[in-house]
Amino acid sequence: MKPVRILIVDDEPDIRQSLSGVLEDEGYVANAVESGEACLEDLARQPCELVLMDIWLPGMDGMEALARIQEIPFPDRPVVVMISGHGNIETAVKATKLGAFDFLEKPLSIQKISVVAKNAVEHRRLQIENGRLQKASILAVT
Amino acid sequence: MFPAAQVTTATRLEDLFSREDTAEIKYLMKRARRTGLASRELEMRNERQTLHLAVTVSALEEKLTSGFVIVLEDTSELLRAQKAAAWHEVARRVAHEIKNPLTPIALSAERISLQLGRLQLPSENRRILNECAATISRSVESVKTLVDEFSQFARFPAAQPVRSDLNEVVESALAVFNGRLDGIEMQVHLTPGLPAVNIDKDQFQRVVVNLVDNAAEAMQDALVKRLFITTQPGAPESVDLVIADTGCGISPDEKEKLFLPYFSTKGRGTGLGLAIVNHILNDHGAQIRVEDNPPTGARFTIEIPALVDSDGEPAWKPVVAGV
Repeated sequence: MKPVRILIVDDEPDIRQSLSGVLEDEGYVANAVESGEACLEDLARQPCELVLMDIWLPGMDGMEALARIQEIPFPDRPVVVMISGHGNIETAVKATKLGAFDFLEKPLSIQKISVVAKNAVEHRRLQIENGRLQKASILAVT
Repeated sequence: MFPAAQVTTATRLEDLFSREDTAEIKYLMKRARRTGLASRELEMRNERQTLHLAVTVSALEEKLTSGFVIVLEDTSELLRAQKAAAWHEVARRVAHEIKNPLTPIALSAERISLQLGRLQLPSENRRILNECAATISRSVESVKTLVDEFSQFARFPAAQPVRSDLNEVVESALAVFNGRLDGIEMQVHLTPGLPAVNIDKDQFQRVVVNLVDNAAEAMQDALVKRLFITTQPGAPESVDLVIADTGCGISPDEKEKLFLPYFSTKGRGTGLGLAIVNHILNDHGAQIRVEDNPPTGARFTIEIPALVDSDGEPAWKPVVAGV
């Protein structure tokens, strides 16, 4: 099976490093970038399955990057999980409305990350499967 | 702003203002003579308090002999509110800045113990390494708890005001101290039949408890230990709660900083007590002021808007606390 690619977006080098390490331990291929802009560039070069996005970022903030990711056409569009240092309900609701799959609050734990990553990847598999079946059924009818 | 007796007899600026303040105002007058209007912020101190004033001077005519109109606006309340708002922002940011590095610390500690599980190690070394990783994880948890408590201050729960009898609220707050105010003579005067007020009972009890706590502490080394708690009708459509003590008193400098977070004259405590009191009162549209309680001690007066009784509607609306 093709390894699952995850992109980490956080301006703290230590968070990028430790999060990548944890995800690699779990068998994912992890890449990390430091800004929303770099995230969009990376996604344009090579699609990935899941983006873990910090909300407070210098330059383009996490929310805006989340909105821009939703403009990517479907099969290439990754699932996005937002990460925040000060979880409040308003931000979580806003992120969900903008299309985020889930919301994690810092400090993170390995258990929380691995559960969320597993769910997010599974969610995307189902989305793709669903899209494929719909296409097949349209073809079958016509 | 000035005592009435001082105003009626005053004929010159010097009769009302200190030498430095007079010089400032005269300088503004000179500028107003040239430009028509001059203004600046002024900090005025007297033996009772420090006032923040916005002073505006306008020249009546562009002739050297004509008069001036000097407008003094007391901006102390505004400034206090701005300072409180600034602190909420600081509390929020500090919480964020602390939680950020906690993530790599927590993740790395967890990763160390996971990797240890996959290694062949002498049992003694394994025990020590596992213990170290567990200690780091535990400490991260306790810092996180601390930060969460700290940011409670930044998102203080919104007031849930209901129609209440201030006397009842004060009585139940004082019940908390039952037998804990040894050696202090209590003089409680709760005026019966006061207008109802629209307050959050729990939060107001906290206000009374914090103020009584402070008063008791201020009287620790006092010879006369007397605590006065009074409720009375205040300015039109308001009810006053006065808490006065015969303790060490509060200097003019301290009075100004009293309601800021982390300002404390005590060697212990968080310095959040009066900041919380101030926050609660702001949410209720109530005001607090502190004065001397001659011959010695401090007197806190809280002015609470009374409910207008004719239609049963509150005379004011509570402010919803921002997050």
